[in-house]
Amino acid sequence: MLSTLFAVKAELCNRKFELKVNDIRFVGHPTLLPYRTNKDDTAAMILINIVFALRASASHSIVKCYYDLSKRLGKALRHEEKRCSYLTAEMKIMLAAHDEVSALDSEINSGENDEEEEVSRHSVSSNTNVYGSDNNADTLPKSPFHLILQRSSLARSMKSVFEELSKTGIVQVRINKWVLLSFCLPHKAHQIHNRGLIIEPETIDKCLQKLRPYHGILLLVNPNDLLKSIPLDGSPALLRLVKLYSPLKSLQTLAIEADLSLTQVFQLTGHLVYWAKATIIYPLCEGNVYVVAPGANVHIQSPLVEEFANEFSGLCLLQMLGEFSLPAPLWYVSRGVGGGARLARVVAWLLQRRLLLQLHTYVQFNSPHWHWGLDMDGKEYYCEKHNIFNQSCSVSFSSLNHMQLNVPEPVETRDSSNHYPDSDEDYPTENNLNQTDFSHTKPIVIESDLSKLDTFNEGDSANHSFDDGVDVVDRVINSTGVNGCEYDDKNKQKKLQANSVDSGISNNINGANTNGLETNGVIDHDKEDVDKVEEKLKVLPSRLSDLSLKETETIMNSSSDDDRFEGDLDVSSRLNSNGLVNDSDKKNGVSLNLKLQSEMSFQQPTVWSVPASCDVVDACRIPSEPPTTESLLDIFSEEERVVLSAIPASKQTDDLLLLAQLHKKGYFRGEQHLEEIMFMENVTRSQLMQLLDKFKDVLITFETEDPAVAMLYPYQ
Amino acid sequence: MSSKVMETRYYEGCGREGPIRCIFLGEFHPVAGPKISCQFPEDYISKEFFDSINAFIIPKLLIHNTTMTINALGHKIVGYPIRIDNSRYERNVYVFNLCFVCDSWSKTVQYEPVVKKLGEHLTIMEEETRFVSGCSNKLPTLLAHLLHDLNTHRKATLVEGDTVMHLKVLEVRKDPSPVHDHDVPVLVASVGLPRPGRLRPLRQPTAEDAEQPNQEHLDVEDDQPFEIDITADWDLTTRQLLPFMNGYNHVSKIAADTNVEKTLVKSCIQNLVYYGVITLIPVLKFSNMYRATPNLSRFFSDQELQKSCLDFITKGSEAKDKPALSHVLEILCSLQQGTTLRAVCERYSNNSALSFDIRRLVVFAQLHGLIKCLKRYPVYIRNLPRPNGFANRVDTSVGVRKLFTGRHCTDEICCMARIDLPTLEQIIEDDPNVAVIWR
Repeated sequence: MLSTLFAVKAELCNRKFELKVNDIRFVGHPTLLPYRTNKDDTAAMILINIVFALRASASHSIVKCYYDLSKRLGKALRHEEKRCSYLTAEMKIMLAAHDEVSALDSEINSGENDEEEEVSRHSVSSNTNVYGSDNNADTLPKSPFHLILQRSSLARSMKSVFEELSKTGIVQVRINKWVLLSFCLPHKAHQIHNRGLIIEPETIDKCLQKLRPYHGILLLVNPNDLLKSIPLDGSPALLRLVKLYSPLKSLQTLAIEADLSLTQVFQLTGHLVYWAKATIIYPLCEGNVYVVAPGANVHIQSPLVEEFANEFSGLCLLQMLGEFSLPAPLWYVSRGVGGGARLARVVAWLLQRRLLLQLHTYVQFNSPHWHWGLDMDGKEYYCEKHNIFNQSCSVSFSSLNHMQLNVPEPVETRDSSNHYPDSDEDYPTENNLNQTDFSHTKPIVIESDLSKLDTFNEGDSANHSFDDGVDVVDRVINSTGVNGCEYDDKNKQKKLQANSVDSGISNNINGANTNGLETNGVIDHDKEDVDKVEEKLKVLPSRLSDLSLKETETIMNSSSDDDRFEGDLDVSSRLNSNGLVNDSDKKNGVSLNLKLQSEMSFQQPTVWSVPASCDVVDACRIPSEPPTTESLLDIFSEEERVVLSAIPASKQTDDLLLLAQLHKKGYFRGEQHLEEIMFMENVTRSQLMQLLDKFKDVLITFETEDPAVAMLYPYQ
Repeated sequence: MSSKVMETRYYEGCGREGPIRCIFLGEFHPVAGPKISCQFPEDYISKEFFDSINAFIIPKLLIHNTTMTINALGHKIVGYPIRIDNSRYERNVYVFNLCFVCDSWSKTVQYEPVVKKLGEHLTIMEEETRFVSGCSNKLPTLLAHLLHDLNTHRKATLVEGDTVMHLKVLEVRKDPSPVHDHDVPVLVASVGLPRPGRLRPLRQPTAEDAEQPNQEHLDVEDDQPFEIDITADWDLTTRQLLPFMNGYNHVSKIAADTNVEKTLVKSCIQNLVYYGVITLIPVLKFSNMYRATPNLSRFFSDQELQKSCLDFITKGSEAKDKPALSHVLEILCSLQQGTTLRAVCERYSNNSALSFDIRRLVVFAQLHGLIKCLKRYPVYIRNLPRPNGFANRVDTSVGVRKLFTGRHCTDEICCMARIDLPTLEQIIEDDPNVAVIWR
């Protein structure tokens, strides 16, 4: 009965066919193909129409996907027909089967069969659509189609298309054992990994538009399995990309390492996301802040709980999610899990299942009309945590700079010091650092938020929380009684040195970053020595970082320039040789392999090692010529200048300049997160944090998700 | 039909409703076969086009009295083929179909009931007076009226002899989500303009607007959402409930205060949610935590929104001077995951800054999707303890604990178990096996 509807007129062929009857929507791509007969060469044509029956409420993008599949099946069949008259042969089998059945029980369904045959003379439309029905049960008479299914390979292919579609959404069918047809219905495919997660191709497109070089990818499948599943004629670029894959690398790093252009990597990423093989993340690193995703399944009986327990023995999924209930940087959470490497795997696992969502800090310049006093403190406890953390590192570092002023770019290198020391102290030395860990943690407990408020409200707040941060460290240090005075010293030095801190912002984009990586290697190298020292002295973590840095600096200064530009590979190999091979659980889990795990805390994702090759990014980065102070300050209105002048930090022209520069470029409109500013402007996190702290009367921050990443989460 | 301008805004699957471009009556002529007997505007559907799709307008046997939509060659046609068996016709059967033609990009579900109703009425008229097959000369004017009224007023009334036909195009919306006991209804209109919800595109007049003046009605619902008049003739329940929807009362409370049955309250609220009159937000508590959404950045630049925010939060307060915007921004930004509303209030309590009702700010920001409320889910991280015989004291917490499955948030548990939040918090705190997940 429907066959009359699907055997469309020639005008409607080779274009989209969409028909809705009551609650069922039929989608197909009627394909006309020349019919090869031996007898005459007249323009006899076959019309095939592979029709999918969908629920009428199915969204347009689903319809579009099915249409696409129908079109491609049509093309494949056309090709096969042309090559070896495959369709003609299959049609004969089908007709024969129909004849046979009708001969057997002609009295039952004679009328139907006639019609079927009549249709088949110019089309085989109805034959194929039986299997293509998506949601409604096949109600057609069983017998002839049963027979066809046994005899016809085309019918079998169609059946497998249907089955794969309804099972996974990913179709891989070889028609006539020749034409390979791969198709993916993203709406369905993403549900393999996350039930209830519907991702439309349009969403992926939008997400790709927002993709930036600092984003990274997280594979949802084992990379080895993925490599196996890529067909032989797959793009070599994709193979390379997957081989180099790591959730710790940014797309830019991947592009450089795989020797691909950034756009190529973006396209491949889009591809991987479309096929539900990957999702987009900000590369894992110690400073990332994660919270439980809004759509996360936290039910105690969810299968995820079991899976998680099997994957990570001794950990409880729900407890873990409880840890992420309050936003805290990863290094902070890692204390409870037993090491950053393991935490990295845990986080990757949670991210794959969309249980976690990363928060980024956005900055907004805020002082059009300043009515009230300057005595309030807009900081959150997490900011304080950042601060304490950053300051404790940066203080030590700047003091080092002060002692060795021959270091050319003091600020840039601090970046590396920023993250690594703290991570270093955590996991390789678990055994002997356990008790110090706790003492270090104590001052930063969440409750401190309220108790500190009192102290914050008095006095000059610009420097206050900074001092507070040092206080915290001090307290710890005093308790062990090693070198409290040295810290005070550094504190002073730090203040003296503040002038020169920002000197190297815009004129040293290139060299500094290589240093960053270089430092990684070196820190790592030195760690062993430090460990020994540490065992003897039982020095505190922050102290440890100082030591390692000191040594780092010395080595860096003595090393030649050639050394600095060593490739990334070199560094990573070094990392391997003496890196965290003592990683206790060698279980080669979900998707991170061991090497990558150990790199986790050492590689800052936004740092690129070969500056010359980051073409796209360089183009959009700042001009080399730093504008003058006056021209930059134009950005501020009269009122704003008044407010600014009241802030002590604006006495430092460098700080003010940086503020003006970033503000002028529109980074303080709450639209770009810190990581983006860091990447685009080549400033370090600590620089930004300091700036935020110094100008906290005019800069307000809020934390929220990166829209590009959040798009691939359910219920967004 | 598919000019470039149109493609940008009206593409297939854009989900927008389109106007009816043409209405035609197709019939099966005993001699000429399928043909268009009448259409308005004239010659909108060409003969060639009709010929290529007539199988769907005048289908073969059996597929009658079903709504059929065919999307082909740039037109989307909604029809309801009707077949009347009667010996008075030449072939003992008469088939006709009154179809609406729309652009291929437009959504047409909303017209389906109209087409069906029209078809059924025409059947009656045909059976009574041979109105359709007789090629009545009233038909062209009837179609013209229909097209005009449906496109401009979205409703039409046809009077033809004894039959009066009322037609109305109803918007098909998404099913509203279920209403929970602990949800708080807020009147969308209460926050003033601009409306929360969809992002307002910054519209600049383009050539395309001038080109298609008859499309303007489409945007009506975008720009002017449903206005609610509390004095208007709502049904009794709604009228009773509306004064209690102040943004702070949750459903259970409203039901208790108004003495209306809870299921009735819920269905009434669900109905209002469906029409976008109200939205549901979580209960405002000072122990709540809120988190900014990416939309918050919009608030910084949208002056209209800022103004309406200041208006809303100062409504009903005695203070003459409005709070400074930068201050509002600062408070809004300090509502972050990790800081409870109480903590924020305390932080700002000792200066004059907090001259407005912070609760109104929270409601406003939630309504506009600038911040979202985080919910607390207590979960058992170990197995549920079996009630053993030794526990002789009857404890309400036993029943409550069964709800710590991760499916219910604290608000919900409070409502279900009829306990207050401090009690629940105490139960959670006392039990080392319970973890709390903020989500």
